[in-house]
Amino acid sequence: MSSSAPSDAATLYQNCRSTDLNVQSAAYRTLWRLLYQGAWNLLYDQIDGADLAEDCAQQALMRIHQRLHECNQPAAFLSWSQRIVANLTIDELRRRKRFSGTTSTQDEGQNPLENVPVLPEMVSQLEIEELRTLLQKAPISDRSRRVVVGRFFDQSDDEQLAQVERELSGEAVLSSHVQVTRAKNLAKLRNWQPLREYLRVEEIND
Amino acid sequence: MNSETEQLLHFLQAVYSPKDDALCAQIRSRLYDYVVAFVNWNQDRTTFDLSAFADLRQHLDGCVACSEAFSRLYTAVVQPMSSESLGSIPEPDLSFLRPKESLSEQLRRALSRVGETIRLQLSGDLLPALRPALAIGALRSSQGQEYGELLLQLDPPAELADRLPTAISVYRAGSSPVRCLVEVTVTLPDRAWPDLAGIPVTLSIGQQVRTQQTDAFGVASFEGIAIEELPAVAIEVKV
Repeated sequence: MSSSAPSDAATLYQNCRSTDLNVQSAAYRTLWRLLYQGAWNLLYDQIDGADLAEDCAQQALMRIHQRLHECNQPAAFLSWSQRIVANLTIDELRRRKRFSGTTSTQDEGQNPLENVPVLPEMVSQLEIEELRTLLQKAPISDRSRRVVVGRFFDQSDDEQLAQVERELSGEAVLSSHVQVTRAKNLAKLRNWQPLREYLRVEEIND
Repeated sequence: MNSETEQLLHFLQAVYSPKDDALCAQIRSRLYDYVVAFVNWNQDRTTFDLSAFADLRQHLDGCVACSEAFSRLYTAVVQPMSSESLGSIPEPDLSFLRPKESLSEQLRRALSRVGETIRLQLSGDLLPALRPALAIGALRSSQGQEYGELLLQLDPPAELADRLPTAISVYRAGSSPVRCLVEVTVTLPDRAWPDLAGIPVTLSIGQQVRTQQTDAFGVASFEGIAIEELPAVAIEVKV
């Protein structure tokens, strides 16, 4: 994943541990560029992205300094560091509520199965083709339907689904886009009355 | 359970999974590893597999926030921004690399002795080490004045006890928040309460010099000291 050779990573790791303050400072300055870039990759579209990236990269730099002894593989030091800045940045985005977290459909209405685990016994009564037919009528876009049905009913993986969408639309669709589209539309289905009614009918028949 | 039932089960669990912030936090800490594994798996499905992340993948279907976090991470990894888009990179704060001096080392540098007179020079660097870890609202009373918050407390480390036979406490004045009371407590190996009276203690700030003698408890008090002048205070004890 990293463009740097393992020997570069190991050297940087050793220099970060150096007792020579000049060598150590230079190593941390090199690491800083990597961390700032890592944070920037996640924040470039935020209004205060540059400031946020600086904050997150600084926190990551200090955390790496404190936890250097936890890096067991010096050759993987850069990946280890990138993980730290990525986790910090994602957490910061979440803390500042820069992720939607909920859609309006999640907030409205009740989860009909709340506190009731979805058990295999409940599911065994359902017919997969009946459910597939029902989903054809769901109030979601065709693309949304394809990525939901493709994942759960056709066992397609997200890269295959993204390929289909790229061919259909001519757009650069990533498998991560497929994942987000599916999560958002599953949230919409949560309160779709026909699906709730269908499930209640099956519960009564149990 | 056959594969069809399993598919339906996963579908319904994804649609009806309850919100679980603790699980989301746990999942988010693994997202970067999942992204790396996912990218590797896409490139070579014979060598890599995602079975270790089955629970995470199921969670992503049921959680919009975690899905968006995954998407952002994935895009950052496979389509990183060009270095041109970074613009100028700010300088990091590397002050955390400088080794912290221990209190003993700082006190050794602040202490001097000429004959029977021990001198301790406070400084801006030393004061932070003397601040109490917890805010203590003490109530001190001296000659009708009341004092509140404990601002500084110096109890000499054991290894310096013979070189610095003095404890120092500083309290904010109740009547004037910019003033304080400096109490110097002298402890001598060959004298004890109530035989600690009469030891000269001098507090100086630049050219301003004040001298008090200790009471029976070995305490000399200096009232009305400007808090902002504390870094310039020097205390001398004639032992």
